[in-house]
Amino acid sequence: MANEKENARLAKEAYDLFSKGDLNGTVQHFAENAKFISMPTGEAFRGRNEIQGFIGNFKTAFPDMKLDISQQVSCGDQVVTEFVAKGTHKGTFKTPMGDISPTNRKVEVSLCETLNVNSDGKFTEAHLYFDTASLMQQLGVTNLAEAQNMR
Amino acid sequence: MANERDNLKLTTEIYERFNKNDLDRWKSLLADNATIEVMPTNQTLKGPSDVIQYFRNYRQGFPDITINIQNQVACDDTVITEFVARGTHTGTLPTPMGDIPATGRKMENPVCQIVQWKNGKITDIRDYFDVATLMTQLGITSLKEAQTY
Repeated sequence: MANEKENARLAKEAYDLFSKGDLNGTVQHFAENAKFISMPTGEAFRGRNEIQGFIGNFKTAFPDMKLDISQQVSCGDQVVTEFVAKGTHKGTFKTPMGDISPTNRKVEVSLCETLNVNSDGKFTEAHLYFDTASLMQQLGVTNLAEAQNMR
Repeated sequence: MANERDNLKLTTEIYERFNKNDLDRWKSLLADNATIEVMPTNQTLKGPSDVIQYFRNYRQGFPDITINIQNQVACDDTVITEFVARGTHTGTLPTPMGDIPATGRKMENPVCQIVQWKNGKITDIRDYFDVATLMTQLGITSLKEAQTY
């Protein structure tokens, strides 16, 4: 039971580090062989480098991106966090359909992430849920036939 | 801890019954002022009739829809369920932008659903999923059409 509070604190710390732009700090919270799944595509990232690549793409595209936690629960070895990501599109957003140049548009996306935390306080698995349709719309992309490759 | 076990059991039960096209049990467990927050669209529906209609719409559009639980955790008053919804679009799917006639296409969508319980009743549900995945699977490619979905 004692770990539940600590796990929640570690998760919060990881999100705060992302907000501050310390991506290395965020991924150090993950176990070396951690698995991170972006649920909209089912794409899986293995290990800190790949995870940093995925989250770094967002921070490059939205350098001021902040994560505001709305709800968080921690039970057993799982932490589930609901948060709102807000940012301004000031950098290149890499997508499989090609790069999206800065639009200066503001985006606001609701996300939910489940984390499994091991006894060392490292995240071993993450599942990130969000809606790519609303993100694309906020960037002015309205053709899903184009956008589907980037999910 | 007892509440967590009860909440988990009831949550599992409502999904099992949903799979059998029975939404009455779910409705009976909704508090009078229960809400569902559809996170992708920022839409909030209030009251048992509107909340349950949201789920009926899926059953109407996908009569064979099933919820396949992948992971579930009960924590205090909250039950979090990660599931995959699978179904065939053989019925009309009502949406805020209008009805989508049957396409015969199959859909498969990961969903994270967070259910808040209080004294044995559901007070709030928050539904996280990717609208783009669903729309693409139905062959809808214009987000201008889909944006109010």
